[in-house]
Amino acid sequence: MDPLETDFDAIVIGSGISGGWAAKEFCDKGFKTLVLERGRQIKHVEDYPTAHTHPWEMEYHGRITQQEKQANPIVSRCYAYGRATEHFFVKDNEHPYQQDRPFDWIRAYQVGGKSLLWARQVQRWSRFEFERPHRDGYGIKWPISYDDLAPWYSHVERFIGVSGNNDGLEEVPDGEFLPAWEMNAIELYIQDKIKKNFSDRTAVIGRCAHLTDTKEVHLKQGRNRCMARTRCERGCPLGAYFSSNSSTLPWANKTGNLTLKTHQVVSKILYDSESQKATGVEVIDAYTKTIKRYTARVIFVNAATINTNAILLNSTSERFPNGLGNDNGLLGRYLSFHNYRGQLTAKHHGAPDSYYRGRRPTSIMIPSFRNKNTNDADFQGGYMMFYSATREGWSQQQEGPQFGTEFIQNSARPGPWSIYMMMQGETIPIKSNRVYLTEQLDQFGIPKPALDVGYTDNDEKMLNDFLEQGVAMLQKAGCVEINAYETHQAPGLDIHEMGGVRMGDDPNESMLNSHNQLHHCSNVFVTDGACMSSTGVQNPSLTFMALTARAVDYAAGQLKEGLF
Amino acid sequence: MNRRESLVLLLHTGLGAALLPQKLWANEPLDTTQEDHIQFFEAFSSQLLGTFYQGNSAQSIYGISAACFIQNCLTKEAQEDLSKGCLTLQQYCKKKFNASFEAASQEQQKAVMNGLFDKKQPLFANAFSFAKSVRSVVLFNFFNSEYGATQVLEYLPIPGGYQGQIARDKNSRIWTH
Repeated sequence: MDPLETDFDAIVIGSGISGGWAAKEFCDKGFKTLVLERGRQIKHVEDYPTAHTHPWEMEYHGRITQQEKQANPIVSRCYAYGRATEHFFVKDNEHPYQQDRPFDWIRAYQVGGKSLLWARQVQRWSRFEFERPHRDGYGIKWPISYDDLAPWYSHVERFIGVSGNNDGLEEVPDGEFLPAWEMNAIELYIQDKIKKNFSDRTAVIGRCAHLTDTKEVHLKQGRNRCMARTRCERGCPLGAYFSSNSSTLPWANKTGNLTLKTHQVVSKILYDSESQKATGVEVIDAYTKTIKRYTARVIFVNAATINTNAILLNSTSERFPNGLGNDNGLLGRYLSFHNYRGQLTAKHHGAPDSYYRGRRPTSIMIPSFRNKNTNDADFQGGYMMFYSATREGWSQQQEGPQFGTEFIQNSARPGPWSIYMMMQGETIPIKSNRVYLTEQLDQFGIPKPALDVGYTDNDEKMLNDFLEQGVAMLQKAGCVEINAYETHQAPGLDIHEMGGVRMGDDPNESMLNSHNQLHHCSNVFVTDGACMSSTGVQNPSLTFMALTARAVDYAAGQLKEGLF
Repeated sequence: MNRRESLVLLLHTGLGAALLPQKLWANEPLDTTQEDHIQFFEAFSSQLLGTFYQGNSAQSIYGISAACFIQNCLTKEAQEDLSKGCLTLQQYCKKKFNASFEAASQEQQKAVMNGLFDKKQPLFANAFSFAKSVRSVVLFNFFNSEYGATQVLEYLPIPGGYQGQIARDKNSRIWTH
């Protein structure tokens, strides 16, 4: 094979939310970049087959059958999985993995990865996220601070487009925002009651990666303003929400520096003991099963948390018999996630003459108010809350006729207000929560990963606090029929898995340095969820993107200096 | 020609296109249990939807869709509960009117429907729960059909934006997607 087709400045493993950013940044800086994607090509717009499908055009109006649920018990639990989106998800039997304890691993093997399917909520981490784990003794010290990442948050926000308000809250720092989405009458009412009754907490409109306005940089990407369809997970033909497919990858492609290869399953990173650097990667063609090697001066691993861990664990050599850079034996350890186990529902009888129009792609958020400056709760870490108010649809309970013309007419009218509230809680990184490789091989001859991950008592205490506080807040807001409950969901269904290749200053207790560089193999970087030393409270994707842009900037400097 | 074959014919000739609540589903044939209940589901739909009912008993479009949905989208337990409810209801109708629900007169059907949704004096054990289950299936199919979504609800596939506060009056309809 022509060396020009196999040798690059940079290899990026994975084309999802962080891989897309790595590709864009390298290509913008003039480096020949190879992106390796294990799945199929998904071209923006043309590969969104259900984007405009009406419910009556879908079998069972979009409902998944029992047979399909039984065949896919894991993925069918995902909120975004349905008839209109199933083609973007990995089915349970396609790439089995071992669960030592229940773990719902939701995967999307295609160009764009889960950036097509993500929930698109983006809040900056605050200084509390970076400082609290070490301050309160449940995690190692982050090697960077909020101030290190702040300019990169701005860099990413301007490019992807984030709607929101600058609320002046230390818990969720302000950013570069497009106009915020509106709240409806009941959401505003609840916001006001929370402000008046709880001095330590604030409700504000959520921040999401949707274009409520288009700047020049978005128009250059070919993206348009959000039409409030919320058929996002089908792929947005307008490019109104950020995905690799609509944004970073086409942008990178325009530079002429991008080579994207699909159906390329990376089995390992190749290490040269003489130079003490990685030389490239070994891939297996998903169709032909032939093995190829690609070389580069720098490698970014962005295969999504668990697969990034698996690739590094499988990258063994004489120098690294337990996985690349794994001198301390911590690779795969401290796998963490977000606690989504608490939810509340309620009703509200206010604003009888008010309605809303369109579907807003975000909700109201109440940033973390526990353990801010000291560990004052009976648990560690923080949690944030989200709530929304909607009018019930045709399935509303009615007084009066229960069938016939009048019943149908009443069913077609907006029903009473219904409130939904949920938690997003930080989990404690613990050593026993881990991913490791089994001796069983997958269809490519690569060891299957096993997941041994569970909740802790801390999660129980946090859940109880959320339920208690949620009830108190909804009561003060005049809600009735409040129902607080636990979802009993397994880890993984949050789709916020993080860790295993964590950042830190000390090579004895971490895998990556402050620039996301492996301590013991300096031209390999990890900037997806695997790099996270702790989970924080906020949705994580914005931080993955900012860390990636920052790390590429550093790596590019090293490349230019000839250090790789 | 069985009911399913007649539906296929209707589809192919286009005769049923305007009335069909959805495209033909399910590649597998209906099992006997669901096949037996199609006429009941059709008559139930007629009573439930009132003047919004667009079908007729010869085509049984609503009945077939309900049966397909139940067989494929509900759990086995839910299917068994519904079948038991159907049998109990038909026994009640036979005893009361000497006719099945679907063969009973409009007035008799209305009386049974009133009884089914009477929580205080149930027609039979679990009658209310049974009636609500059948109703939810028929309504799901109806409001997701082209007619139900666009003519009865306000179908908004592309809202264009989000307005947090608009007036709601007696003519407001649920917008859907």
